[in-house]
Amino acid sequence: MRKLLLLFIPVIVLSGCWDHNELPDVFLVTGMGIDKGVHSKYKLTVENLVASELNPKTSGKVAPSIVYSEEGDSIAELSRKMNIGVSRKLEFSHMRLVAISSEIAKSGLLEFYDFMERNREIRDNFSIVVVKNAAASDLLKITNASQKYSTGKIHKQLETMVKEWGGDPDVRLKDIVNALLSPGREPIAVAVRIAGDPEKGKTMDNAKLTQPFSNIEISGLAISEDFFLKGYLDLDDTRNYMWTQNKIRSTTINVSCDKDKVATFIISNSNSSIKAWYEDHTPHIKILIGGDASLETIQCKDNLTQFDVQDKYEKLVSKTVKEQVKGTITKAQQKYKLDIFGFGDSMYQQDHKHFDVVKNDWNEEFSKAVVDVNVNLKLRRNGLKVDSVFRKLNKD
Amino acid sequence: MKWLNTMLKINKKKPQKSEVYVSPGSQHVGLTDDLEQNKRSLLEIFRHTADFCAEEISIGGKEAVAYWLTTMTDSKEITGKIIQPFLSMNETYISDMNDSTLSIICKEYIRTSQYQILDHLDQTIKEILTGNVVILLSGSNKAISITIGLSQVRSIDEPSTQTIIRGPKDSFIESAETNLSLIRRRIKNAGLKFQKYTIGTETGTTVYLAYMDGIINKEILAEIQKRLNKTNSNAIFDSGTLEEYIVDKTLTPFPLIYNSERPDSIAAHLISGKAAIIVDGSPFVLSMPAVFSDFFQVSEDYYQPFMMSSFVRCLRYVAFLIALLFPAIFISIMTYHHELIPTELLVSISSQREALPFPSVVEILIMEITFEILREAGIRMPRAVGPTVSIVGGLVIGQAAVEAGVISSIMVIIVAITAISSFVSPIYSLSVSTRLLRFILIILGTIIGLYGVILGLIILLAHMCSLRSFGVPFMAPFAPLILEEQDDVIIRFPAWSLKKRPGYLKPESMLTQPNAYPPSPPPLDKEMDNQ
Repeated sequence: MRKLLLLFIPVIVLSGCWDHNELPDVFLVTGMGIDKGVHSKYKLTVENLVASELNPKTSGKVAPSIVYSEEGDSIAELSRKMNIGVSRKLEFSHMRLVAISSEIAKSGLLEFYDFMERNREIRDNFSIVVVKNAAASDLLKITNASQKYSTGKIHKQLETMVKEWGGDPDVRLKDIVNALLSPGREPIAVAVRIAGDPEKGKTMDNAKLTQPFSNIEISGLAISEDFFLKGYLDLDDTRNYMWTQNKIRSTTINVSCDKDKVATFIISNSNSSIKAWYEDHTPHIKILIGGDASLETIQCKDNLTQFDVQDKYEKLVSKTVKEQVKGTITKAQQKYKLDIFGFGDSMYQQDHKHFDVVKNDWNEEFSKAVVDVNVNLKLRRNGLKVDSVFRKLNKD
Repeated sequence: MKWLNTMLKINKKKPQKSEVYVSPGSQHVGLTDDLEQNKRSLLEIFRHTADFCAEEISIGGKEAVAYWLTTMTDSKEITGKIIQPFLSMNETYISDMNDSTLSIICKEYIRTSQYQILDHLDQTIKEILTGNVVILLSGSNKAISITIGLSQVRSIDEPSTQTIIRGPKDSFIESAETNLSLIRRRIKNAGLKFQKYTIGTETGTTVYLAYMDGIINKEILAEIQKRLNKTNSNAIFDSGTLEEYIVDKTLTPFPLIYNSERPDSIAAHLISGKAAIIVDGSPFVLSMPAVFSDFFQVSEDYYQPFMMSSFVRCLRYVAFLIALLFPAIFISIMTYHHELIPTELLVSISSQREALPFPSVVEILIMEITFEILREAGIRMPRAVGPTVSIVGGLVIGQAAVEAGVISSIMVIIVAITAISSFVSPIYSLSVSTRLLRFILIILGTIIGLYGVILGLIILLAHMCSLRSFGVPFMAPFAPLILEEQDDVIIRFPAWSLKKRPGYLKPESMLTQPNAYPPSPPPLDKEMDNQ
């Protein structure tokens, strides 16, 4: 036993310390931007945090992050070679954002997913965004007052968007890779755009303005067929997409109640499920959506104390949601003929035999599928007031 | 490890008998009829002994000598209680000398009840040395030893190391007899036994073994008695020394014997089926067998509401883990596992360490060792300079080191919280062991990160599970897990629901208070009637 213990000592002492990294020797990479290179296949841009600038005690002297670009044929190679221009070892474990330029996405040069899945440092908790109207490298350079460094701002923005309204599909690398592998689903990613002048947004002055020169906005969904970007859907469609995925945590919906008048409802506790089956050689999809609605504001003069009025609105909200979700699905069916919703996956699970026959051209089948959306939202409460003030005013 | 073992073995197997010091008068020789000869042999043994006092008196017309040590016995008491009664005795009281004469004299003339008739020289010497008065009578080959209370004893104070807020405020002192009375006053039960031992061939220290007859397990008791008899130590000045002679295993950082200066906790231990050892000259009383959870319990736990004391107990376990692991985990995360902490925290720590010269392990070792030095200095410093140490130390650690850019402020936080946590442990001997283990874990964490810390923890846990205290598993009742015993370990149930003694001690009688019931208000209708 004692000899065995003695053997342990060299095991510990000789093997130790090989991956030892002191904090002052590393740069935390929070964002990666991938563009098409001029001379090589890729241009990798990384955003490295300058820690002293993010500490309230020592901040205010230099820029909060260092952005550096280098060209090469493989992201894996570049990630180790960035010391051409950066002083410290790059550490990718805290990466929060991977921005892909639309150019790269369109030409389908997404082989770097392999590196990201393989690497032991990179964790699958970063957002993948497609930059709609600018280079991915530009996205990492737009300064901001609240989070200081660009990727931190986008990450926080996307996170909050998911919680508050459902405007971000909340996909991670794993979801995209799964969609790529699955015959019954096409990959999507969130699309962002730079509003304003990107050049002016790269200075620290941008963060000093109440209305910055340029800002990063979420613009909707980027949808693709396998590796290749095919088009974009707008923000409302993103929310409707989230509804089909049972990922809505909370959202708002406008219901038109009169001419030029709307009522706004907050939806919470929402849940949905998909039923898929074959009938007469046509795929049938049924989406069941449930949840609670609560009135946030109303512009019409309906008497909310009446049961039938409550009833009417309950039905109206469900109807509106139904139309919206149906509209988005129809868009995907007719315009793109791409099953981004994963109905094929549901068909695979629920009607395996029929799906096996058509799985190689499921998108074609999807485009002619009969889709029924069944919405059953309950109107639970009216906020703090029972009746509308304006209705009473007009009475007298 | 090997050299340590061989060293221990040498000490065990080759006692060099020829060099052992033999104290004078230790031979078993009888007293003689001749008073002069007895006087001579006593004077020979106590020569050059300034505090040795011999008073020639006359008892009933016979020549007699009273011997005592002025440093051990109150001379006034001797005059009042022994010499004066003898002087008032009739000149011709003792006509002839026979065996019963001495006992008759004692019965009639000695006003204290504690006396003893001796017939050997070595006994006589021992009695004088323990502070008794010995009277030799001419014509008798026996001696009378009379016990007179020790004069120089510190008064009973508040405990200095184990203070509590609510509960008894007395503590043990250096006098074993006083300590016995403190225990006896709490347990008025004929089952409470005090067994006397004299340990230390050169110091002859009085040691008492206290236990509750009928509760303590006989095997455990026999084991303790066996070890006490086998001690063969030459000098015992504190219970801490004795502890090392009777403990199950010396090569462990953990204390396997509980010690306390609180009579109430020792009394509670006795009641639960443990034994206590009171060493004369030490205010710390040992209690055994001890298990790991004993070191997280304070007697106050039973005087405070049970919910509060359960919470505080949990807190103590958490503090123990912090004191043991926090710096090691911090170091391994800082050097190997950056992904484990939130980005914002990492950035904040990183910005503090930006321009620092040393790797984080050097930093934390500097801080820990500085703190250990300060702690040691704080204990040993003369009282008058104590505040200087704390001010200088506080400044060195707290501010100057950070401002000078040697240490990052997060390190100060880590070391401070670790230090404070290590003081939460109610028994000092456990907090000492965490101090040692902390350094080992820091080094493991530095070399192989969290993997090393976990390896260290596994080895530590295996070691802890292998420990025994007088045959009782040290980790009981966690390992072996005894579910019924968990009512008074990490959380404490209300006092009336604790009806059993700890089963791992295998007490002779298991139940404590089978008829205890929860208190309840009077029935509602009665209350209404009264109103």
